[in-house]
Amino acid sequence: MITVLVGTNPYSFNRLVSAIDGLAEQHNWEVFIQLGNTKTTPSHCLFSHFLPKNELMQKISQSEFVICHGGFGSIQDALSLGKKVIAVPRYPQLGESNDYQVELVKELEAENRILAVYDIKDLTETIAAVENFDPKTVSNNRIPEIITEFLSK
Amino acid sequence: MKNNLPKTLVIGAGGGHLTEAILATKRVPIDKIFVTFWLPFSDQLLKGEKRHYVIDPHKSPLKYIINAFQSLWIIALERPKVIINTGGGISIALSFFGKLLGLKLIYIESGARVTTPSRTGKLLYPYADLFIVQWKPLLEHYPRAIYGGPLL
Repeated sequence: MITVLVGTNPYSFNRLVSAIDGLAEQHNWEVFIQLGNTKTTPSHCLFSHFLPKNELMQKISQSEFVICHGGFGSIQDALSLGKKVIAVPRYPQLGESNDYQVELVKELEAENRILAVYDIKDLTETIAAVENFDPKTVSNNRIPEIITEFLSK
Repeated sequence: MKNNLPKTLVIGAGGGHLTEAILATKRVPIDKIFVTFWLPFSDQLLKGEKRHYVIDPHKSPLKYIINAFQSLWIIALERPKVIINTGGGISIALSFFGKLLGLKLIYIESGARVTTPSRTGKLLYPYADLFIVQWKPLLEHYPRAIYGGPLL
Protein backbone atom coordinates (compact mmCIF):
# COMPACT_ATOMS: atom_id res chain seq x y z
CA MET A 1 0.00 0.00 0.00
CA ILE A 2 1.01 3.62 -0.65
CA THR A 3 -0.14 6.40 1.66
CA VAL A 4 -0.59 9.92 0.28
CA LEU A 5 -0.69 12.94 2.60
CA VAL A 6 -1.60 16.51 1.68
CA GLY A 7 -1.55 17.85 5.22
CA THR A 8 -3.82 20.34 6.96
CA ASN A 9 -3.17 23.17 4.50
CA PRO A 10 -6.44 25.10 3.93
CA TYR A 11 -5.90 25.08 0.15
CA SER A 12 -6.92 22.28 -2.25
CA PHE A 13 -4.17 20.19 -3.87
CA ASN A 14 -6.01 18.69 -6.85
CA ARG A 15 -2.89 18.33 -9.00
CA LEU A 16 -1.36 15.63 -6.79
CA VAL A 17 -4.60 13.80 -6.02
CA SER A 18 -5.61 13.57 -9.70
CA ALA A 19 -2.17 12.33 -10.73
CA ILE A 20 -2.16 9.66 -8.02
CA ASP A 21 -5.68 8.57 -8.89
CA GLY A 22 -4.66 8.13 -12.53
CA LEU A 23 -1.63 6.06 -11.59
CA ALA A 24 -3.61 3.93 -9.14
CA GLU A 25 -6.10 3.09 -11.89
CA GLN A 26 -3.40 2.40 -14.48
CA HIS A 27 -1.24 0.16 -12.26
CA ASN A 28 -3.97 -1.21 -10.02
CA TRP A 29 -2.15 0.05 -6.92
CA GLU A 30 -3.60 0.07 -3.45
CA VAL A 31 -3.49 3.69 -2.35
CA PHE A 32 -4.85 5.52 0.68
CA ILE A 33 -5.12 9.32 0.51
CA GLN A 34 -5.71 11.65 3.44
CA LEU A 35 -7.37 14.45 1.47
CA GLY A 36 -7.48 17.17 4.11
CA ASN A 37 -9.03 20.23 2.46
CA THR A 38 -8.53 18.99 -1.10
CA LYS A 39 -11.77 19.14 -3.08
CA THR A 40 -11.09 16.49 -5.75
CA THR A 41 -12.11 13.02 -4.60
CA PRO A 42 -10.32 10.03 -6.15
CA SER A 43 -12.21 7.17 -7.80
CA HIS A 44 -9.49 4.53 -7.62
CA CYS A 45 -8.04 5.12 -4.16
CA LEU A 46 -9.28 4.75 -0.64
CA PHE A 47 -9.51 8.12 1.05
CA SER A 48 -10.56 10.06 4.10
CA HIS A 49 -10.56 13.81 4.73
CA PHE A 50 -9.07 13.70 8.21
CA LEU A 51 -8.25 10.45 9.98
CA PRO A 52 -7.56 10.41 13.71
CA LYS A 53 -3.81 10.75 14.18
CA ASN A 54 -3.23 7.22 15.50
CA GLU A 55 -5.13 5.69 12.58
CA LEU A 56 -3.16 7.81 10.14
CA MET A 57 0.14 6.80 11.73
CA GLN A 58 -0.98 3.18 11.45
CA LYS A 59 -1.70 3.62 7.73
CA ILE A 60 1.74 5.15 7.27
CA SER A 61 3.47 2.31 9.09
CA GLN A 62 1.66 -0.23 6.90
CA SER A 63 2.77 1.57 3.74
CA GLU A 64 5.61 0.68 1.49
CA PHE A 65 6.44 4.40 1.17
CA VAL A 66 4.73 7.79 1.46
CA ILE A 67 3.94 10.42 -1.15
CA CYS A 68 3.16 13.80 0.39
CA HIS A 69 2.97 17.53 -0.16
CA GLY A 70 5.97 19.59 0.92
CA GLY A 71 4.63 20.38 4.40
CA PHE A 72 6.75 19.95 7.49
CA GLY A 73 4.17 17.93 9.45
CA SER A 74 3.50 15.34 6.75
CA ILE A 75 7.19 14.80 5.99
CA GLN A 76 7.94 14.56 9.71
CA ASP A 77 5.18 11.97 10.27
CA ALA A 78 6.53 9.76 7.49
CA LEU A 79 10.21 10.11 8.44
CA SER A 80 9.46 9.52 12.12
CA LEU A 81 8.12 6.08 11.14
CA GLY A 82 11.18 5.38 9.02
CA LYS A 83 9.33 5.54 5.71
CA LYS A 84 10.79 6.63 2.41
CA VAL A 85 9.23 9.89 1.25
CA ILE A 86 8.45 11.39 -2.14
CA ALA A 87 7.52 15.04 -1.59
CA VAL A 88 5.59 17.11 -4.12
CA PRO A 89 5.67 20.81 -3.18
CA ARG A 90 2.50 22.87 -3.47
CA TYR A 91 2.83 25.99 -5.60
CA PRO A 92 1.30 29.30 -4.45
CA GLN A 93 1.20 30.47 -8.08
CA LEU A 94 -1.24 27.60 -8.79
CA GLY A 95 -3.39 28.50 -5.77
CA GLU A 96 -2.28 25.39 -3.88
CA SER A 97 -0.82 27.10 -0.84
CA ASN A 98 -0.03 30.34 0.86
CA ASP A 99 3.58 29.32 1.51
CA TYR A 100 6.43 28.19 -0.64
CA GLN A 101 7.13 24.53 0.10
CA VAL A 102 9.90 24.28 -2.44
CA GLU A 103 12.72 25.44 -0.13
CA LEU A 104 12.14 22.72 2.46
CA VAL A 105 11.73 20.03 -0.19
CA LYS A 106 14.89 21.12 -2.05
CA GLU A 107 16.96 21.19 1.14
CA LEU A 108 15.81 17.73 2.29
CA GLU A 109 16.37 16.37 -1.20
CA ALA A 110 19.90 17.86 -1.23
CA GLU A 111 20.57 16.15 2.12
CA ASN A 112 19.44 12.87 0.59
CA ARG A 113 16.64 12.46 3.14
CA ILE A 114 13.73 12.41 0.66
CA LEU A 115 12.93 12.19 -3.05
CA ALA A 116 11.23 15.15 -4.71
CA VAL A 117 8.91 15.81 -7.64
CA TYR A 118 8.74 19.39 -8.94
CA ASP A 119 6.83 18.64 -12.12
CA ILE A 120 3.95 16.21 -11.67
CA LYS A 121 4.90 14.55 -14.97
CA ASP A 122 7.97 13.14 -13.17
CA LEU A 123 5.92 11.35 -10.52
CA THR A 124 5.86 7.94 -12.24
CA GLU A 125 9.60 8.00 -12.77
CA THR A 126 10.28 8.96 -9.14
CA ILE A 127 7.97 6.24 -7.83
CA ALA A 128 10.01 3.76 -9.86
CA ALA A 129 13.17 5.08 -8.18
CA VAL A 130 11.90 4.61 -4.61
CA GLU A 131 12.96 1.01 -4.34
CA ASN A 132 16.64 1.79 -4.85
CA PHE A 133 16.61 5.03 -2.87
CA ASP A 134 18.85 4.84 0.20
CA PRO A 135 17.97 7.82 2.39
CA LYS A 136 20.12 9.40 5.05
CA THR A 137 18.27 8.94 8.33
CA VAL A 138 20.36 10.75 10.92
CA SER A 139 18.95 13.94 12.40
CA ASN A 140 21.16 16.49 14.11
CA ASN A 141 18.51 18.43 15.98
CA ARG A 142 19.26 19.67 19.50
CA ILE A 143 16.46 22.18 20.05
CA PRO A 144 15.09 20.63 23.30
CA GLU A 145 18.63 20.78 24.77
CA ILE A 146 19.08 24.43 23.72
CA ILE A 147 15.78 25.39 25.37
CA THR A 148 16.57 23.44 28.53
CA GLU A 149 19.97 25.09 28.80
CA PHE A 150 18.49 28.56 28.24
CA LEU A 151 15.82 28.09 30.90
CA SER A 152 18.25 26.80 33.51
CA LYS A 153 20.32 30.01 33.30
CA MET B 1 6.46 17.87 41.42
CA LYS B 2 5.24 19.82 38.40
CA ASN B 3 4.81 22.91 40.56
CA ASN B 4 8.55 23.60 40.61
CA LEU B 5 8.74 23.72 36.84
CA PRO B 6 8.25 27.03 35.01
CA LYS B 7 4.72 27.32 33.68
CA THR B 8 5.08 27.62 29.91
CA LEU B 9 2.63 28.38 27.13
CA VAL B 10 3.67 26.42 24.04
CA ILE B 11 2.00 27.97 21.00
CA GLY B 12 1.96 26.99 17.32
CA ALA B 13 -0.55 27.00 14.45
CA GLY B 14 -2.57 23.82 13.90
CA GLY B 15 -0.67 21.67 11.39
CA GLY B 16 3.10 21.30 11.06
CA HIS B 17 3.76 24.14 13.52
CA LEU B 18 2.05 22.19 16.31
CA THR B 19 4.04 19.07 15.48
CA GLU B 20 7.18 21.21 15.73
CA ALA B 21 6.04 22.62 19.09
CA ILE B 22 5.55 19.11 20.47
CA LEU B 23 8.94 17.92 19.20
CA ALA B 24 10.82 21.04 20.34
CA THR B 25 9.56 20.70 23.92
CA LYS B 26 9.97 16.94 24.26
CA ARG B 27 11.65 16.18 27.60
CA VAL B 28 12.17 19.89 28.28
CA PRO B 29 11.58 20.33 32.04
CA ILE B 30 8.65 22.76 31.96
CA ASP B 31 5.01 22.73 33.01
CA LYS B 32 3.54 22.75 29.49
CA ILE B 33 0.24 24.27 28.39
CA PHE B 34 -0.35 24.10 24.65
CA VAL B 35 -2.13 26.88 22.73
CA THR B 36 -3.20 26.17 19.15
CA PHE B 37 -6.28 26.24 16.96
CA TRP B 38 -8.64 23.34 16.77
CA LEU B 39 -8.31 20.83 13.93
CA PRO B 40 -9.95 17.42 13.70
CA PHE B 41 -6.86 15.70 15.09
CA SER B 42 -5.73 18.28 17.67
CA ASP B 43 -7.36 16.63 20.68
CA GLN B 44 -5.71 13.37 19.90
CA LEU B 45 -2.31 14.85 19.14
CA LEU B 46 -2.42 16.67 22.49
CA LYS B 47 -3.98 13.84 24.45
CA GLY B 48 -3.01 14.10 28.11
CA GLU B 49 -1.63 17.62 27.65
CA LYS B 50 -3.15 20.80 29.06
CA ARG B 51 -4.36 22.92 26.17
CA HIS B 52 -6.33 25.96 25.08
CA TYR B 53 -7.78 26.56 21.64
CA VAL B 54 -7.82 30.01 20.07
CA ILE B 55 -9.15 31.25 16.75
CA ASP B 56 -6.92 31.12 13.67
CA PRO B 57 -6.78 34.72 12.42
CA HIS B 58 -5.52 33.66 8.96
CA LYS B 59 -5.97 37.00 7.15
CA SER B 60 -8.96 38.51 8.91
CA PRO B 61 -8.45 41.67 11.06
CA LEU B 62 -11.56 40.87 13.11
CA LYS B 63 -10.23 37.40 13.90
CA TYR B 64 -6.91 38.96 14.96
CA ILE B 65 -8.85 41.02 17.52
CA ILE B 66 -10.73 37.97 18.81
CA ASN B 67 -7.44 36.05 18.97
CA ALA B 68 -5.89 38.92 20.98
CA PHE B 69 -8.68 38.82 23.58
CA GLN B 70 -8.39 35.04 23.85
CA SER B 71 -4.61 35.31 24.25
CA LEU B 72 -4.90 37.87 27.02
CA TRP B 73 -7.48 35.69 28.79
CA ILE B 74 -5.18 32.65 28.64
CA ILE B 75 -2.27 34.62 30.13
CA ALA B 76 -4.52 35.98 32.91
CA LEU B 77 -5.82 32.50 33.64
CA GLU B 78 -2.56 30.56 33.53
CA ARG B 79 0.01 33.14 34.75
CA PRO B 80 2.87 31.59 32.76
CA LYS B 81 6.56 32.53 33.06
CA VAL B 82 7.65 31.50 29.57
CA ILE B 83 6.25 31.35 26.03
CA ILE B 84 7.66 28.90 23.51
CA ASN B 85 6.45 29.79 20.03
CA THR B 86 6.73 27.89 16.74
CA GLY B 87 4.87 30.52 14.79
CA GLY B 88 1.93 31.28 12.62
CA GLY B 89 -0.26 34.40 12.83
CA ILE B 90 -2.05 32.71 15.72
CA SER B 91 0.93 33.42 18.00
CA ILE B 92 1.53 37.14 17.41
CA ALA B 93 -0.87 38.65 19.97
CA LEU B 94 0.05 36.15 22.68
CA SER B 95 3.76 36.86 22.20
CA PHE B 96 3.36 40.65 22.38
CA PHE B 97 1.16 40.49 25.49
CA GLY B 98 3.64 38.07 27.03
CA LYS B 99 6.58 40.41 26.43
CA LEU B 100 4.63 43.38 27.81
CA LEU B 101 4.00 41.40 30.97
CA GLY B 102 7.64 40.38 31.34
CA LEU B 103 7.48 36.74 30.21
CA LYS B 104 10.44 35.11 28.52
CA LEU B 105 9.84 34.54 24.82
CA ILE B 106 11.48 31.64 22.99
CA TYR B 107 10.82 31.60 19.26
CA ILE B 108 11.58 28.68 16.95
CA GLU B 109 11.43 29.54 13.27
CA SER B 110 9.47 26.90 11.35
CA GLY B 111 11.50 24.11 9.78
CA ALA B 112 9.60 24.82 6.58
CA ARG B 113 11.73 27.98 6.31
CA VAL B 114 15.16 27.24 4.94
CA THR B 115 16.34 30.43 3.25
CA THR B 116 13.59 33.03 3.68
CA PRO B 117 12.36 34.22 7.08
CA SER B 118 8.66 33.94 7.96
CA ARG B 119 6.45 36.98 8.51
CA THR B 120 5.86 36.07 12.16
CA GLY B 121 9.54 35.30 12.71
CA LYS B 122 10.64 38.67 11.33
CA LEU B 123 8.04 40.46 13.43
CA LEU B 124 8.99 38.75 16.69
CA TYR B 125 12.77 38.49 16.21
CA PRO B 126 13.56 41.80 17.99
CA TYR B 127 11.51 40.73 21.03
CA ALA B 128 12.56 37.10 21.46
CA ASP B 129 14.89 36.27 24.38
CA LEU B 130 15.98 33.13 22.56
CA PHE B 131 15.53 32.73 18.80
CA ILE B 132 16.23 29.33 17.27
CA VAL B 133 16.50 28.48 13.56
CA GLN B 134 16.39 24.99 12.08
CA TRP B 135 18.45 25.76 8.96
CA LYS B 136 21.79 27.57 8.74
CA PRO B 137 21.01 29.90 5.78
CA LEU B 138 18.57 31.75 8.06
CA LEU B 139 21.39 32.91 10.36
CA GLU B 140 22.08 35.54 7.71
CA HIS B 141 18.65 37.08 8.35
CA TYR B 142 18.70 36.47 12.11
CA PRO B 143 22.31 37.11 13.24
CA ARG B 144 21.71 36.55 16.96
CA ALA B 145 19.69 33.37 16.43
CA ILE B 146 20.96 29.98 17.53
CA TYR B 147 21.13 27.09 15.07
CA GLY B 148 19.26 24.08 16.44
CA GLY B 149 19.06 21.73 13.47
CA PRO B 150 15.80 20.56 11.83
CA LEU B 151 13.12 18.85 13.94
CA LEU B 152 13.00 16.03 11.42
